Amino acid sequence: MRLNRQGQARKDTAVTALFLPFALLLGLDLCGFGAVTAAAGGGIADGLIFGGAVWFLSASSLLALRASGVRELKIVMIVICLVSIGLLVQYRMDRDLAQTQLIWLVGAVILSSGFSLLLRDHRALARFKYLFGTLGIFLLVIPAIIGVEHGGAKLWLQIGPYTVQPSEIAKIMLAIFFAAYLSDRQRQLSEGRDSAFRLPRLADVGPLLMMWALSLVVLVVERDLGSSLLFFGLFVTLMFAATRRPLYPVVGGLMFTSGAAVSYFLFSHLRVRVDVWLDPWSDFFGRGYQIGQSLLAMASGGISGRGLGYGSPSLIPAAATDFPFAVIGEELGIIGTGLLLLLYLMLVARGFYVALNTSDLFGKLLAAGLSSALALQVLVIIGGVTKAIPMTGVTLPFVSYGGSSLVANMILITLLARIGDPQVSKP
Amino acid sequence: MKGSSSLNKGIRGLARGFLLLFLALLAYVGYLQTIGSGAIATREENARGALEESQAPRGKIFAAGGEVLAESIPSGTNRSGRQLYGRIYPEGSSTSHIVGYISKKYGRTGIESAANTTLSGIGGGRFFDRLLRAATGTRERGRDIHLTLDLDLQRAAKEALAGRKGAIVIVDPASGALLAAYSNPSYDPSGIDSRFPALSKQNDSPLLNRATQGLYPPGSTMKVITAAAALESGTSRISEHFDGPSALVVQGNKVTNYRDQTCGNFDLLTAFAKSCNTIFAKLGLKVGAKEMSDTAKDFGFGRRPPVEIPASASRYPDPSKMADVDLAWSAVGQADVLATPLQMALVAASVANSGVVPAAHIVQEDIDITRMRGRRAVSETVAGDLQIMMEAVVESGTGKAAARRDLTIAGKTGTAEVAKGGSHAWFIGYAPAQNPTAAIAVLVEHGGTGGSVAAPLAARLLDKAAAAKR
Repeated sequence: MRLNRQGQARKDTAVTALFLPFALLLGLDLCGFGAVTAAAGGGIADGLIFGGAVWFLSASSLLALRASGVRELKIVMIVICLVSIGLLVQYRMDRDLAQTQLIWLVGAVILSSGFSLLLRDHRALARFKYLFGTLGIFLLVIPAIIGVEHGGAKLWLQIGPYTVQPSEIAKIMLAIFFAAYLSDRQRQLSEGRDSAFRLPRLADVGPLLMMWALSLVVLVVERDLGSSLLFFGLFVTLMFAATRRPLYPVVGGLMFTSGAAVSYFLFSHLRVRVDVWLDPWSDFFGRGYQIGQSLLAMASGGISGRGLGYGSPSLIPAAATDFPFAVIGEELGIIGTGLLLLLYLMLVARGFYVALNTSDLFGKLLAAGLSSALALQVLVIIGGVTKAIPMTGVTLPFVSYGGSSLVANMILITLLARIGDPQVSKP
Repeated sequence: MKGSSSLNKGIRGLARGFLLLFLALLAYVGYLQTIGSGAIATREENARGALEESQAPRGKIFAAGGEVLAESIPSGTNRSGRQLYGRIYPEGSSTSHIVGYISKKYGRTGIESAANTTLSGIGGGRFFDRLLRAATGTRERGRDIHLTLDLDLQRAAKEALAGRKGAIVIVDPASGALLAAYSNPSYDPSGIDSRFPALSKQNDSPLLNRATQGLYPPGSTMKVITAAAALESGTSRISEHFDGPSALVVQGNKVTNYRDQTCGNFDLLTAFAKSCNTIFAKLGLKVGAKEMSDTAKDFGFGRRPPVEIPASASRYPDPSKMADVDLAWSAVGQADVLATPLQMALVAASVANSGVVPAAHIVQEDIDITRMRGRRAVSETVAGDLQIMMEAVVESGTGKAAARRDLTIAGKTGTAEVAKGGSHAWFIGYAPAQNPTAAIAVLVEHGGTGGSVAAPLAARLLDKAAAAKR
C-alpha cells in the first residue's frame, strides 16, 4: 500500500486481486469458529453454522455497500476482516453476545448503505459545518451532564435499554466541522510559512487554547483520557495537515500532557487511574485487577498464543467490550495481535491514500480527519490495554462489543470510502 | 492547485507520523508478548493454569513416603459434557505453606505454583498440538511431583507448635533436602477462593510462610557464625580465654548477659555452651565487621536459599556502615541481623555436614547436579571445633533441656530480644551428633527463652527423625 508521491489518483485495478486474500482470511476465520467450538468440547456444527453466517453477511455487506455507491472497496474489505475477527472473539467469549453483535452489524450496514445512497457528494456536508460542529461538541460533552458512569468514566448515555457512546458519532461530526472550517481558511493559514517555528499569531493560538481547555474539561468531568485525547488529537492533526506547522503536534502535545498531568495531581479520581497505570500489581486484587489480568493474558499468549478457546478471558472483567485485544493476545499470541495491528494500519493508510487522491480541499481534509480519528482511537485503546498509557473507555473499532460503536464506525468508513473525486463518486 | 499540493505534503507528514506510532506500538506489544512475557506470565497472580486444571487432571503432589498431599478428583461435568476436576489437599493445614494452592481468582502459591508447568502438563504456545489433540480427543495429562517432605515429621512439627506462632524446619544435613517445614498459624487451602479475603486480613498472617520467609533476629544462635568467623580467620581458638563481665560497654552502650549474669573467665568453648553475650560481643569486635559479614554470607546470608518455594534472604548489615556497638550486638544476633528459620537450620546443617552448606531443596524431581552442590562455609577443622562446641551446649550448657538418654544432640539456643513483646525462642541443632541425619531450627515467636521453650521441642523432633532412620 504505497502512498503515491505525486498525489495523483491511481486507477485501482487490483481490487479483484484482493478478493482472493480476503476470501482466504474469511476462510481462516471460519476455521477459527470451528476451533472455538472444538475447544469447548462441543460439536463443531454450531461454530461452522455461525461462521457461515458471518461469511454470508460479510459478502452481502460488501455487495450492499458497493451497490450504494462505494467505489473504494479496499477499505470495506479491511473493515469486514476486522469485524469478522471481532465476531470470532465475541463468539469465543459469549455466543449470545456475538449473535447480538451480528444483528448490529446488519443494522450498521443497512444504515451505512442508506447514508451512502443519500450522500451524492461529500462536499454537501461542508455546508452544515457549524451544525456539525455544535452537535459534535454537544455530543462530546453531554455525558458529563446526563451520562451514566461505567468503569469509573462517564462516557455513556442511557436510551431505553441501550447504552450508547455519543463520542463515537461526535468524532465524525467534529471531523466534518474541522475539515470544512480549515478548507475555508486554507489559504490564509498556509500563507508564507516555510520555516518551521515562527512566533504563533493570536489567530493560531486562540483556537488551540480553546480546544485544549475544552479537552481538559472533558478529561476532568468525564474522567476519561481517551475521549479528550481523541478530540484534541483530531484538532491538532488537522491543523498540522493544513498548516504544516510542527507547532501543532509539538506544542499541542506538550500542552496536553502538562494539562493532563496537572489535572491528575489536582483530582484524586484521576490520580487513582495513574497509580493503577504505573503499578497495577500493588493493588492487583483491587483496582489493578483489570489491567493486571490484561497483561497476564497477553504475556501468557506468547508468540502463537495458548490457542483459540484455550485462554481464560473470563478472568478479565468486561473483556468483550474493553479488552478483546487482550483476549486475542492470549489465544492467538503476537501473531494475532500483530495481524490485527497491521489490519488497522492498512485501513488508516488506505484512508490517507483516499485523502491524497481527492482533489477538493474539503475532501482531503475530511478524509485525513476521519483516518486520523480512527488511527488515534486504535492507538489510544491498544495503548491503554497494554499499559503503554492509562486505560480509557474508548472502544476498539469493529472488534469491541458495542452496537453504537459498530454503527458509528461503519458510517465513518462508509463516508471515508465515498470521498473521492466528485465526478467519480456519483453512482 | 497550490493549496492542494501543500496540503498533500501535510497529509503525507501526518500519515508518516501515524505509521511511526503504529510501528512503535507494534514493537511494544511484540516485546510484551515475547521477550518481556516471561517476567509477567510467571507472576503468582497468574491463574491461567487453574482454569485448564478444571478440564484436565492435574498431577499429584506426593510426600517422600508416598502420601498424597494434593490431587485432582472428578467433580462434575461442564455444559458440553467435558469432565471437570477439583483440587483437594488431604493434609490440609499441615502442609499448606509448602504445597500451596491453585485458585482461579487468587493465582497460585507454593509447589502448585513452582511446579505448575509439570503439574498442569500444558505449556504455552503449542496451538497446533492442542488443535490436533482436540481433534483426536486425547486428553492433556499433568505429571506428578514428589517432595522430600517427611509427612510424619511434618505432622509432629505441627503438633509441637500447637497454639504458638512460629516455625520449625528440619533438613537433611548432607543433601539439603527439606524433611519438614511448618509455619504456625497455618490455613486450610481447600475453598481458598472464598476464604482468601478473610485470611489475608487476619492479624496473625496465616498465609505467611514463617519457616522460609519469616525474618527474625537470631539471637544467640548467631554465635555459631561469630565463632565460625573467629576460628576460620584465626582470630581466636577454641581454647582461648576471655573475661566475661555482666555488661560490656561499647561506645556508651551496654551489651549485657542474660539476667545480667557475670560469666567469669571462660574459654571459648564454655562461653559458647553457656551463651555468654559479653564474651561474644568482644569476639565480634575482635573479628571485625567485614569478616563477620563475609562469614555470614558464606553461610548463606544475603542470598535466597535455592529451595523451590519462595524463601527470603537473611540479612547481615552492611559492614561499611556498622558502628562498633552495632558490630558488638550483631555478634550475638541482635542489631538489624535478621534470619529465617530455614537459614538457621542450614547453619546447623553445615556444621553437621563438616562445614559445607547443603543446597536446600524440596522437590525430588529437581535433580540438577550443579544446583545440588553445597557451598563450603568453613574448613573441616573449624567445623569440627563447632561440633564440639554445639555438643557442649546440650551436654552442659544452656541446651540441657534438649538432652536425651539414647541420642546425642548438638545445638545452640537463642533468646532474641525484640522491641515489642517477649523474646523469640530459638533452638538450632542436629542429631545424632556422631552421624547426623537431621538438622533442625525451631522458632517460637515471643516464646520466652530458647533453652526452656525451643530446645525441648527440637529434641522431641530430632528423636523422631532419628527413630525413623534406624
